[in-house]
Amino acid sequence: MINLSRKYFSEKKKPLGMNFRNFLIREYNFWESLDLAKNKAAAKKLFSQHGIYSPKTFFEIENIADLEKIRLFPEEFVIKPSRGFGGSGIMVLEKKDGKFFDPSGEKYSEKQIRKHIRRILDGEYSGHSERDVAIVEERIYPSPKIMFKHSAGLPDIRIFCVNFVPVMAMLRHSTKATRGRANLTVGAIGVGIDVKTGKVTHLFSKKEERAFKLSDFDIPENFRIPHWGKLIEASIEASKLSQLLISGVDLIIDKNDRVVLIEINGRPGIEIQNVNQKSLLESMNLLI
Amino acid sequence: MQFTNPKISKRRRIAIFSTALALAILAGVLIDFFESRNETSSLIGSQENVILLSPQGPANIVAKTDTGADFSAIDSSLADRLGLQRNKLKRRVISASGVQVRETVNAEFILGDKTISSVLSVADRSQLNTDMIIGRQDLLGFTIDPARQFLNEPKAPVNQRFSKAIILARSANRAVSKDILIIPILGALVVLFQLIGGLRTFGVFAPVVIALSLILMSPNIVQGIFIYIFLISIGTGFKIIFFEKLKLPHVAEMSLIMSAVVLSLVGFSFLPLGFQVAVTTVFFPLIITTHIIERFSKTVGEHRIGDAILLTVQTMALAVVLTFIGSYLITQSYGAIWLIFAASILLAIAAGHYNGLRFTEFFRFKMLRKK
Repeated sequence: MINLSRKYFSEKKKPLGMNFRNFLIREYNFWESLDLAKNKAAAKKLFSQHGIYSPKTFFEIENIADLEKIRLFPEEFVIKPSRGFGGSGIMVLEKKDGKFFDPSGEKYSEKQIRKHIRRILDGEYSGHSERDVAIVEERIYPSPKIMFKHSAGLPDIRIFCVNFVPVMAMLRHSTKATRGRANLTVGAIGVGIDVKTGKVTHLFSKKEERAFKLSDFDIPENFRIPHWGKLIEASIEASKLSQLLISGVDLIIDKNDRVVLIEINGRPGIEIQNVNQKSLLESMNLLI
Repeated sequence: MQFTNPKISKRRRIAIFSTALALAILAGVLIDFFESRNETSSLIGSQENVILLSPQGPANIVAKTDTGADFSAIDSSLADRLGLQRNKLKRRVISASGVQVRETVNAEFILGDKTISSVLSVADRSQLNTDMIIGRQDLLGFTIDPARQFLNEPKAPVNQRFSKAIILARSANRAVSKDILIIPILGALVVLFQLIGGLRTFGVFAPVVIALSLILMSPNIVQGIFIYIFLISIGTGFKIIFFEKLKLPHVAEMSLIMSAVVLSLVGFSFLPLGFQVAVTTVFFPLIITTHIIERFSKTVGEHRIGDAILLTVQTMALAVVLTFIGSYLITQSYGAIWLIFAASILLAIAAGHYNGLRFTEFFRFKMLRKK
């Protein structure tokens, strides 16, 4: 466990910087855990064994032989590289009249899809051309309750956990301009959430370096993220399973009001502090 | 999402291939043309003033042109005085006095407006009129008028450091020079700039290697920076417009980017003299340039063009700062450099233990501090 009563946590006013974050990760997030977090296929298996719902896997393709065994693709699915990062290599597809289409309406033949999977296997998206596993999984639709004005794609909820306890949370609001991606660097808007109550507090755009008012996105005052208790529970459970002492858990509430775990991150970003306008060191101090 | 359309027609592929081939051939033809044109230009006499670029600095020497000799030769005691290191490899020289095995040294000398890099035989020439002869091997491209002497005044190198650096880069068997100690010192500085300053660059090595090549280009630093920016942008252009469409594996794509960079460099060598000097030293960090192009286009591919440009600007800015620091350091004495080297190691370790905010983070989290 991270000893939060140590000296350097005392400066509550200071934000948590990159250097200190990296130090904590080096010191407390063990290699095995970090590796598990990077490997989505392995993490998914672990989580589903322990009753945390993550998107249902249709196929797990480890090599060309696996790929050739697949005769028929499902009606609707997502292809993901197991070790991809930043949302690269992800393909969302839907079958209409025997043809596949992505959300922007572009047409893909089955041959092109297989080629894309081959590229995933070759490590195109895993960095350093490591061999990778392709996951074909269920497509998740977000609950309309967490869709706001200008929302597009999947808004996901990031819960920052320290010592398996959630200390800060935000919702990453993807828009058409971000092509449905929920990365803050791409321009997604961060929605600060009070961890205790699930109440939405601030809006912040990293790309524009400015805060918004809740009314700018038609979010009512005192809006609470639905199923907040379940989300917190899932994040605690997931961080315990991964044994990551510093972690960022990415969750989604789907259209059936289920809490879905997308992934766990062993090197969570610190931009969440700007989104919540609060220092992580300060929040960690509250745990003592 | 990220996925671009894998469709690419056969015709298009052939078109790209043929264009590349045509460009390569065109470049070859142009090089041939320019080289043959250059070669007819210089006229030299039976004796000429040359400047030998030695570790001790440039030296003025009177040399005899000798079309009867295969190789150039230098007096042994002069070679010692200039600090030219003997090569391990010796050379058999056949002369009127029989077969001799002679020691050799790597050196560069300026004859007229040409800088010739050569392997000189070392011989005892104390009884002869000139300390050096220039043999056939190094007389390529010159026309000799045996009736005249000293037709050319060699153009001295702009500064001594420049010539030293060239010798450093080209002579394979040279003992550790203080120039080499500069590399880890600059590396440690990058660590400082990143961990304490909060600067973000394309890796740790890119700024150091670029700075080194800028130091070698010495008086032409501005041209050097322009060449880099040109190479990065043209490489990225090629990669995004052509190479990505080919859907090649990573390694193959890298080699294609490298070819594009080299081709553009070849194009550069036709530009005015300042650029030409710079071009020869850019060859050195080609790999790192290719790497930057790859990272740059990847960042662009993630729809973060602003970020990619910001990273490039920071990398180049840091490289320029390191260039000035490096060129200052290189003029210092051996002892001082060793001291700075030791200090830089300690500094890098200390920076690694610094857990406070980086300088740029004071601005990144300014909203937090206001409260």
